[in-house]
Amino acid sequence: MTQAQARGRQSQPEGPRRELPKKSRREGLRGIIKEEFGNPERRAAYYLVVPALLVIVLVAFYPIAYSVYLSFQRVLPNQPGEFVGVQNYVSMVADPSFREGFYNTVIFTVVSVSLEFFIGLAIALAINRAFRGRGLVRAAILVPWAFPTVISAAMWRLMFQDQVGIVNYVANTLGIISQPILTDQTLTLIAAILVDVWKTTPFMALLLLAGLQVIPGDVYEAARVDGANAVQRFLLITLPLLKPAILVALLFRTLDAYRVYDLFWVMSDRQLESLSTYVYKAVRVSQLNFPIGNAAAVFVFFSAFAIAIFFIKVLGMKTSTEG
Amino acid sequence: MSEKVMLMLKVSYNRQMSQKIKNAVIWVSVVVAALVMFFPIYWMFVTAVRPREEIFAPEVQLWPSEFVWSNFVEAWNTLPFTQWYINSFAIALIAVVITVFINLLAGYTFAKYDFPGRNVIFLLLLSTLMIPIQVYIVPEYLIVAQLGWVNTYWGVIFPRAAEAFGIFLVRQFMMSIPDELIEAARIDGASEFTIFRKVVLPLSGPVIAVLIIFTFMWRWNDFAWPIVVLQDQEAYTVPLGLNLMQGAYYTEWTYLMAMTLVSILPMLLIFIFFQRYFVQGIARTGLK
Repeated sequence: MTQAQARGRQSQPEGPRRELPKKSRREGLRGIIKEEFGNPERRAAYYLVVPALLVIVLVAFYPIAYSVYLSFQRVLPNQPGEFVGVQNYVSMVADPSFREGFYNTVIFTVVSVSLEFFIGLAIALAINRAFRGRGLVRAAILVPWAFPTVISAAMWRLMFQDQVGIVNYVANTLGIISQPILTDQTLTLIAAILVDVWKTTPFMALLLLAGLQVIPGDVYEAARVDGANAVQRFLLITLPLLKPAILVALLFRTLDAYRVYDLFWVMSDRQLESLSTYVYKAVRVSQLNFPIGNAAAVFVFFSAFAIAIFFIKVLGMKTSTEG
Repeated sequence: MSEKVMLMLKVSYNRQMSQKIKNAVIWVSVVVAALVMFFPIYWMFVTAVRPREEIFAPEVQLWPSEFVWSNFVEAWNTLPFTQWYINSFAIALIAVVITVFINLLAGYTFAKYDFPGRNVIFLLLLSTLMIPIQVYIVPEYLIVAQLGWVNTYWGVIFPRAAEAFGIFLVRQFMMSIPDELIEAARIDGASEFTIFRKVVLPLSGPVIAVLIIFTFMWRWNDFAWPIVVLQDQEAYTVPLGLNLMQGAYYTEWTYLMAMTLVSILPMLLIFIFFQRYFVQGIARTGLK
């Protein structure tokens, strides 16, 4: 894919048409920057980005750099350590609860994000049409997302509970389950996925809806005149033009799901392990496991980074204009 | 000639039929989805208005035997909810103003300026989304404690003031604003900030509405960070207060559900209010 195409796809439908002048303008601009160090545009750029950068460096990079450093040491908090190489990572992989947390997290992330994406896309397509009461439907659809996770998870736990929970009651009456849902690890994981889909599909739908809104209607009109059917219009127009929105939605939901934490804790009464609960338990609850928990945290960070790179490569987002 | 007309009529008739079927399918799926979506909220509601002893009745009842509206008042009065609402509103409103401003500036910069190190900085920014909160919560707390911000609004607001998600969202949106507009203003001698204020912001209605909705919701619902910073019960926000209602051994479900329902009202209002601008804004930009 050439650079111009990539940029066109990702900015907006009209992109490719005005690609050439834009590019040459940019190169001209870069020349100016080289000549003129005190270029006001460039100075303004720095001013504008500084507040965000300052906050983020302070609250995010210092901790992560420190964690990486510590992960190669044998330390307890507030004690000087010694360099032990990858020893912490070896112990981490050898720990069965780490592996369990890893599997649970991967299954949870893949299943819940896929379900959320497909259902969310369907909802977005449905509410993108003009129909009576659309505004109300759009507002109503976000309601599940409006609840704090700790609260909605607690509410669902009440519904899943043995004896008094309605879901458990119905599933039991229908003979779907033979034991209370929350006593079984797999069923609890399925329940957690269900709750996550219920809660965050609206978020997905909203992001995709925003993407759908910027697709110009005349593109569809032109395709219809050319004899494209509904499926073709969806696959050849909607999907490619929706790509930037899909990227944002998938990337952020995946990274969020991958760090799942409060949902698992509340739903399973701290029994169901995820990568983040593993980190939390090791780092906070038992200080002896601090080095391993810290290594796991670093692992979460870098694997999440790999996921992000994967999405960016597959969906072709460009973070640069230079290419 | 007449054959052609017949054919055209047939085509348009078929199109009408398929349109009707399509609409019916859409409506049915919307209704089913709505039922699944709203059942838990309905359940929350009936739990909130039930007589308290009915929660643990052996037979699950879909409809409460009577409506005990006083549950709401009693729940409100058992704990300092008034103070918690004041705290929540203050934090959410200040955070919205600051965060939306910072994110718009940064997102605009990443979308429309070329400067050395831009891509590296942007990637670093994105990478903050990949850190589990457990990793940075302790160092972050130490910083906030040294600034003397424990139990204050600032302690909650400041560390979340710049959000990578918002910046990313703004960047994606602003890349679609034509460069020619900005260039023209620059040629007319407008300063960089004037361009931002007079040219870019008026075109950014939808993304501002989305940012306001998201930021308000996130700050209103925030849990993991506020519970670290806000240690006195008077400083609590609403979700922390709701969490306090879930006892280790016993939870008063009617009260908890009643207060949970009340706690989402502000967000509903915000959404209903801004979703109008959301749609209008998009129409106004001429992007559609």
